[in-house]
Amino acid sequence: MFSYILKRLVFFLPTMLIISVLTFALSKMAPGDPVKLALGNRDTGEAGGASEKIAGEKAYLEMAEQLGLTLPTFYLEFSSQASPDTLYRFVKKPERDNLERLISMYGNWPQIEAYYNQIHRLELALLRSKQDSTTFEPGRIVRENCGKLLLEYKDRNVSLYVSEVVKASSRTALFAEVHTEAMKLQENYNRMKAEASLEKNYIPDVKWYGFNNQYHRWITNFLKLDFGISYIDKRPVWSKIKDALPWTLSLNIIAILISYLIAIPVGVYSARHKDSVMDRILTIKLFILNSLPVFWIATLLITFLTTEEYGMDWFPTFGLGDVTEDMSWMEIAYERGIHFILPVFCLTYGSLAYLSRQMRGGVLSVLRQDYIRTARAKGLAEGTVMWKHAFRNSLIPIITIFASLFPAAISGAFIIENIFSIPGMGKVAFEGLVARDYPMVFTVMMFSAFLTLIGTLVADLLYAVVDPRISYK
Amino acid sequence: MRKISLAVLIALTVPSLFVTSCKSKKKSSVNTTVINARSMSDPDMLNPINLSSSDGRNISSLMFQALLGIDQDNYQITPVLAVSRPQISTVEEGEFKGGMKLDFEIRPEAQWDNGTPITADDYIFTLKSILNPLTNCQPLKPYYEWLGDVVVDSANNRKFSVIAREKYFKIEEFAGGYVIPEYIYDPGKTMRKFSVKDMNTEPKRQALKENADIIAFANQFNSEKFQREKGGIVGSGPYAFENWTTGQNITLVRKKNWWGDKIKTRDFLAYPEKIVFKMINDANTAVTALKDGQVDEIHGIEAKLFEELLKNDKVKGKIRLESPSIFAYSFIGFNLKNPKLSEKSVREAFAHCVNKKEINDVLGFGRSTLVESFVHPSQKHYNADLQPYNYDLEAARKLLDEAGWKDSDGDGFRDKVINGEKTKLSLDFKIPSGNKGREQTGILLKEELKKVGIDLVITAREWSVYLQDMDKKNFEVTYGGFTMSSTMSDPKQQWHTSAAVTGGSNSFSFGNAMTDKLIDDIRSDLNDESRSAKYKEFQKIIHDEIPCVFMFIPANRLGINKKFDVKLTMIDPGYVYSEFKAAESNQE
Repeated sequence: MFSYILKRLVFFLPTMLIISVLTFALSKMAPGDPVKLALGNRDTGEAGGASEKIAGEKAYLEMAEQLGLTLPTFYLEFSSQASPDTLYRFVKKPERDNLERLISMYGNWPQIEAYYNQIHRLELALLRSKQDSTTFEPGRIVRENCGKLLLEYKDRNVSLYVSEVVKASSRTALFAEVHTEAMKLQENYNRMKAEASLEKNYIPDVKWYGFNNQYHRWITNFLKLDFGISYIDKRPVWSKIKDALPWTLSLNIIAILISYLIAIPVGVYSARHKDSVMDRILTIKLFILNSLPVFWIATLLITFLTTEEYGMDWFPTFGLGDVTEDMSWMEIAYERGIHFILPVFCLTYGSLAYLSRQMRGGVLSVLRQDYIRTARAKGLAEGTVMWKHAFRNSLIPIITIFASLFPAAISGAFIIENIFSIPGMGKVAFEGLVARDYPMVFTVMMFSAFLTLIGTLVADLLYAVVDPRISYK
Repeated sequence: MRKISLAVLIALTVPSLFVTSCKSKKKSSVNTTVINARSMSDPDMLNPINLSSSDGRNISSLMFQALLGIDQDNYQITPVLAVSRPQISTVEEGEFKGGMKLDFEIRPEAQWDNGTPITADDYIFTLKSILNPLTNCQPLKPYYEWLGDVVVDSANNRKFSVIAREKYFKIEEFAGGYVIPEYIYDPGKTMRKFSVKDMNTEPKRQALKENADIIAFANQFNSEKFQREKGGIVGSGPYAFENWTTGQNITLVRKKNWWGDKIKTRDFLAYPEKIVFKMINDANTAVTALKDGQVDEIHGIEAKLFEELLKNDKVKGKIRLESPSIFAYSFIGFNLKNPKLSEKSVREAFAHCVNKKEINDVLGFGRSTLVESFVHPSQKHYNADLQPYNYDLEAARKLLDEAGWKDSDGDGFRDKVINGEKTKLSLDFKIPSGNKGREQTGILLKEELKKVGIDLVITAREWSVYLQDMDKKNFEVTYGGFTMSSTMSDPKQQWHTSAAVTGGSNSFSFGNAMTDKLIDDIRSDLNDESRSAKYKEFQKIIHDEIPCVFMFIPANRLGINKKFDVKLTMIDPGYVYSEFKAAESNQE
């Protein structure tokens, strides 16, 4: 038994690492720009003057740097010879994506880089140039087209934008410098097309970035139990989880306990009295409960049972209650308990039908077994047959469900927490997902993965406990 | 066995039996020295420099004070910590020639909790905490690009001049921001090693990122202690931070012998002894809590819930319901780069098809204010001469006919040959998904536009995708909203052609040399009168060009427990928490 557990534990580490890599890779592919969201999605260009373009860019880069997004993503990268090992330095994802497309079209990075840098040089030349009444229209055309060029790869459009820039910049004498840069841009673009080296795209290449990468930084900190800083409110992730976890844990443990305590006897009863009137009534009742949407029931409960409006002011409306230092433990228990009743009810009622059905099915299948008939034939009392011989063996499906509850116990129930204003994990995790708060999302994911592994291990061990036919020797 | 199952059955069928006698809520007699306010969720933090959520700002403003504030009666800049609004002059010589100089003086009686006076040192320290490249206030930093230097009066350390590199009317507001105590946030005075000027000058600023003192200060300043814990949230305002239980409540307590008690203006009113912010996410739960007296106010009530409350006789005597405007506006914007929409006649015809009154009545229960501009009609710089584009389908048809849009193929929608291609007058209406109000507006618009032969196709996109599309100007028509400044908004970020680039806020691509110049003139005009005149002229141009159809100024739906009396304002959240006082009817 012991060596079995040890063997399973050893496999935890590689499994967790694979999950971490997958999570990380998925996050990089998801749409949405965490830097923009971390900047509060506010336009950063209001401050003014000629510096405005740089100001917005600067704030963006500094934020990206602070979030650690300017580092390479992973230890190594499988790509082709055409793509450079410096692509990660382009922090803005849409621009990087566009560069990748250009690379797959032309395969000559030095020329592409020269072309791309030239766009920025042109933008800067425009910002530096003198303005008068003649420069407005051309200036505007150059500026807008430069913006579009950063995100364009189709030759037809790029050629059009470049030629528009060249034409516009030649319209005024004040744009002499801009025009030179625009001509260079056209030159660079033509060279990029002419000197294409597509074959490089077909030569595979592995790029090694070393240990100073985003994944390494995250995973080593994670193993040191430093989960990073939340993008939303710049609090340490652990500190946020520490605040939220106790509520979710206590709510869920109480709810799970109650639902098992009710569902198991009900399931056994239904199996024993299969097809009786009581069995049918219970089944119908539980299924009605199961089909009532929880957000609706929760809102109804709050509306009807928490104010005097309908004469049933029995429960507090929201939250967890105020606990002060001078309260006795009885008072604290009462204050928390009264606030827990409605949320726990909402968490419980829906799972009753499922659990008791599983239990009923398990018992029924066991009751058909030969050894039950033997037990009955021996003349054992029905109660003994039920609880001593049938019950233990029929727990297998319940244990399987039990294993899946481990991660669920920390993941929280967003809807319930939201409606009852309980600051639990569901809320924290959901907010993290919406705001692309990756440190938070990763941590919750990793914890869930870990608890899933633990859950299956515990379930496997419990199988052996309830069913003597299973052993891990 | 039978007994167990029966008990189970009872437990399932009548769960309430267990609890009927459970609740004996302690309802105290009318308490008007404590207000329980509702907050949607936790603010991100409470340090006024680093925070960026509006909840955080509202709570923080009870504990911290700025040099200047906004007068809640007339929405003009008003002195708070400063003796008066600054003297503004032009810098005539030296490095910052052509810029502006703002002379401030801090009130002599102003002091911190430890009794020391508030001085220019604290102000300069506050600026440095913003300029420090590593403090967590990136969104705020670009607003201080103009800052050149601060010069303290050698004879009086409450007097100082802020030097700006350029002339810009908003600088007075930016310069008149919050002041935080140096003795709390930088007891070792490490930031005194650096000067404001160096900290805001490249490349010296870049080099600071490696500086050990800068790093150490930023780490300490960004730590939880100085963002959300007692002892780390200390300002000169009337309230002291008492406690923050994540996701549940934040408690502020009024200071005894607060220095501001001596000053009798509205900005120094502070009635409640204690303010508790309770976090309630769910709109329904919040309304129930208000009815039950567990919170004393909610703002931003959902339109439908608000109407239900108004009809509910049981709450009439208990809750005051109001719907003042807030400083924001919504608009239907056009992409002027689109060949179909670059013709003004199409935009004008569209404007005539928008039945604003009906949309407001159906979706907003008639509580929004109809606008013709991006300025609130009660403001001094609002151009009251703007004639609305009335709902007039006949006029729309005529405009389209004249512009050559005809239904040539009999499909019910107009078309026209543009650049050699037959183009159907079909417009894409792009909105973020999940926004019911905008979607329903789209449906109402679609019906009206169909009558004149315009096809409107509603496309909803997930928020981050919608943002990307707006950035790339990948849309034809959209329904957007902006907040506006309670004083005067800088028109540059939405209307200047420099913002018409990829990622800029001028998603309409509006503007020409003349409007850009007008915007630049408005920005550098420091005289309120002449700037207002230019602002009105600018509104007229926007109105005539129709880059968008201005829709509504939304209403802020408020519910206030009648045991309190409070003045309303158009600034979020709709009142000032410190102005809640016992209603006179209570005292009888």
